[in-house]
Amino acid sequence: MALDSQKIQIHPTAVQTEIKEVSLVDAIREGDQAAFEQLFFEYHPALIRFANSITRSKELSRDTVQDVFLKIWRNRDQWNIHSSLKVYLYQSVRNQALNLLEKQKNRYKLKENLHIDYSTSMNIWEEGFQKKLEVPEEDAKRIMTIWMLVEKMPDRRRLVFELHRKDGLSYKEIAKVLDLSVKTVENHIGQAIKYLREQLGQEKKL
Amino acid sequence: MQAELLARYLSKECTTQEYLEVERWLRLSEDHVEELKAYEQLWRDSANLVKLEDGSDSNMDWSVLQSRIEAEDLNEEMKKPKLLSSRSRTAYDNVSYFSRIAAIITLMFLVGFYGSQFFEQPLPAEVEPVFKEISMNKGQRGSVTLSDGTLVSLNSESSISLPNTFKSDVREVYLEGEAFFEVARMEDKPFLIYVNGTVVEVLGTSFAVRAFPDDEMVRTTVVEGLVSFRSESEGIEEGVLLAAGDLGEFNLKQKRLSKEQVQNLAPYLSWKEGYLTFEKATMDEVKKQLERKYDIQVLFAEKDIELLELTAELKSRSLRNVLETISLSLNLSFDLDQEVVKFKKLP
Repeated sequence: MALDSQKIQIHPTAVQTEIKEVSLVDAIREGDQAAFEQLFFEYHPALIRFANSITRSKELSRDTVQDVFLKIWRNRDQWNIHSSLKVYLYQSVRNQALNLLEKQKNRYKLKENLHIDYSTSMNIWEEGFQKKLEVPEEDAKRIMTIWMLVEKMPDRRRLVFELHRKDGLSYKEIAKVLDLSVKTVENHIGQAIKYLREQLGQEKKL
Repeated sequence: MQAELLARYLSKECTTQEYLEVERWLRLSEDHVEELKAYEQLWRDSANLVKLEDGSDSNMDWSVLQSRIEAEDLNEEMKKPKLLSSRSRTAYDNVSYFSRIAAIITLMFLVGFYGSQFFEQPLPAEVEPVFKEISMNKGQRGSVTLSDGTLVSLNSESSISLPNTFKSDVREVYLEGEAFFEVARMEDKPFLIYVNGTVVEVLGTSFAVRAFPDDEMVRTTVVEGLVSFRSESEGIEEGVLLAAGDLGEFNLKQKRLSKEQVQNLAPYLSWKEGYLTFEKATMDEVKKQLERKYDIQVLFAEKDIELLELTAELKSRSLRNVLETISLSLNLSFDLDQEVVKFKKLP
């Protein structure tokens, strides 16, 4: 039986993080609070961003990440990870985010909630944007444009692209987190950069 | 240059071969170098946003989490036998897991699958799909309806493996032997069959695929709709597109794909109705199919019998009638002893 042939690349740093992760997981399983705190602060910002990207709601994304960490601590003595810690966390966040979204939909029957006007939230961003990034104005504009264009992508493509560029997940990890095939991930990233390239090229000409 | 390949190149996810391909492409023109530079810039820029979104309210959220944990610990303290809540949870998961298996097994009995095999991978990890296999022995034939509504008819000595639940964006199954598919149409969820190094990809249509271990070819015969057929190592552009009445063949030795129009599809499909049809098939091929369908052994008294060509529709239910028809049309005689048939040339 032939399964997906997947290229495996091992980076020296990846091996190191893996060892670190395993000991962190072990420590937490033993009830080590400091280890749990370390895990929380290491992943919290990225997981909030990811949850936000799915739920489009600050409240929901905070609840999501809270629930995930609470569950880990609550069931720590039986905490088992079948893939990597990173994949596990992103996957749990995705599942919980979708759960909460579903609940919210049932409660309020409000679909409008999910259709935010991104252009306005982007404008608010823009003010502090350049300063926070500490890059020249021209670069800041370019980066800004990229992420505004990303917001226009279909949901799944946007998530794939963000997980790759913002979170540094590999194709295989993204495939696991979003329950897609590696081929689809490749396709989305290819389409994403093609789209960005075309759009950015046009702006230059204008 | 293909955007996907460039993306793989930029993310260092490409193979050495692909890397060289990009290098070759760069050497072709100065424009290509410029093009790549633009992509690299885009690549760097897109990784540069993280800093901005960092440093959210982690501290605040940590305190909230702390108080939630404390509150919970207090609660637990009050209803002492502590481990029970988490234990019963696992027990519940197990129940649903087992009842799911039971449901599938019951379904298989209803469909009338005897001797079909069914196994689960030992560790039902959260992400790894759990595969099930459905297989037919010699002399058996059966069909099954998959969760997406697709109907699969399996010939003797054939099996398909598929995940318990399909992925959200693709339906993938693995085939050995011969099967007929009536794929339920889903625009955004293609159906992929992996068979002996080739891939058959469709959205919704009916067609037959054949690749027994001793076959030199993987064959795909299309009854309705459009099917993409390709080697597993190739992209979709390299494959052939098959329409109704087309026969696609992938020669496993020469690694070559070909396609032709077929006047009469019956020889590729009649097994599904329970009988064999041959059109200028060599006795060597007829032997294989008889052995598979009737679970018998076929012998030739003279070696060159295997080169004789048979054209026949063998609809009779009786094996003896079938053997008589073959003998009559090829001027042979036969002996049937238990499960062994021996063909002889007539003097």
